[in-house]
Amino acid sequence: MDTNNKVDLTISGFGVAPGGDYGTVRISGRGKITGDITCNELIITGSADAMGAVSCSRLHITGEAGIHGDLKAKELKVRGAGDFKSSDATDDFSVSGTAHAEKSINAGTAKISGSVHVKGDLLADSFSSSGMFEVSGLLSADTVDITLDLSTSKAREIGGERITAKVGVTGLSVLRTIFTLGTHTPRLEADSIEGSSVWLEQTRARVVRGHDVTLGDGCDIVLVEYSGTLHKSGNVRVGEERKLG
Amino acid sequence: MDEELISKKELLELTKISYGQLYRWKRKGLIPEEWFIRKSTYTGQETFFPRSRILTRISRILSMKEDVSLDDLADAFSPETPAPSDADTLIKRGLVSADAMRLFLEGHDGSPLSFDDALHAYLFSQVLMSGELSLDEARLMLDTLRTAALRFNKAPAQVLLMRKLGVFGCVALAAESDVLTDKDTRLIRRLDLTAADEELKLKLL
Repeated sequence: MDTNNKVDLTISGFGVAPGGDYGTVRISGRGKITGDITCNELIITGSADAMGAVSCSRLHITGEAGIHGDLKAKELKVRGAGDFKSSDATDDFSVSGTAHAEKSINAGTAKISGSVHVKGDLLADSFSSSGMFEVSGLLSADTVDITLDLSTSKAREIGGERITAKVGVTGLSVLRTIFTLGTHTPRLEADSIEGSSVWLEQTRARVVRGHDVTLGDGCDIVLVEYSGTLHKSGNVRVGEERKLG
Repeated sequence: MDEELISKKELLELTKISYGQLYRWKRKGLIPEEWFIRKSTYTGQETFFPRSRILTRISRILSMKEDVSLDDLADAFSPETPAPSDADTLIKRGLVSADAMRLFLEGHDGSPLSFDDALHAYLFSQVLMSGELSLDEARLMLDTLRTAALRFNKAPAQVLLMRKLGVFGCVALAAESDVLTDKDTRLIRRLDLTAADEELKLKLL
């Protein structure tokens, strides 16, 4: 694909553009794209709304953006605020700001250091979070790597090969604990967590299933089913343990 | 039709696959979303699957995955995927016998074979070579397959081949269903088109 011949589009100030096929699109003021747009890069540093479908190699949002149609982007970076309907076939999905998805997100690598709310499923080959997430459906990846900050992350179901949730305390979070008088605690909440290997801390779940399960400080699990090993250390509450097969 | 269900836990115990594999296959679309059935049990919401379909699918994935990539497998399981389906390929791969292909092409309009045509030829060849049907009977089956595809707007789910007092008959069903015949009717064979479709796509990869 030769993108060199394509026209670039820049909206700075206040502007409305129809859809179309572009090279680089920059929106630094207040912009609105009324139709479907295909482009190489879409860089939003101001505030933008795309009313139609968006298909691009790179979508960077450092301002705020609402994508109201279907979104296809190879690289999707949200440093500001992004509202999506759904996002499909994204190789790289990273959020250091906040992102909301009306439906599901499908990605190769998903990296969350800000906050993400997904009404559907969040599916990736690898998922890592050091921020906060809320997934109404299934969170699934080969490796799910969660570093719990001073907030509660939630998913209805978490499933994958290797699932870890550990508390990571940074200098900043120590300060926040002091300023919020300890009301913010790191926590992961899920209905079910299933993985070949599961390693959890500060997690509240109805059921945890896996081959090898390790439960650390602050876990409160109603039912644990494991086929290989179960390790518990620290302050752990388990309603029922079942060793399978 | 009430299908027998299997719980996720039982499925994993039975097939020896891991949670990692199951979730990966789900993400790659190898196991359809609608097969994950959430039901309330006394311990809370649990996931169940249609028993026979999921077991067949998993044994097929396990038998193929050594030499086929997951994406290719997902394509093979998708009903929309075209596959190379020209007459030469089918004969060369031993999927349709040369004689059966010649007979099949006699009744064909001369256009390049679509995947559906290839599937029909594949089944036509199977019933002829097994000796279960005579040539005229096999032609009647082909005709039924084609008409059913038009009538149902998609390939039928199953075709039943039967014989009563030596006379052949053939029934196409739009969906999988239980069938009861009278006592003199013998069911020669039940062709599962969905399974045959997947099977042929995998063999054509």
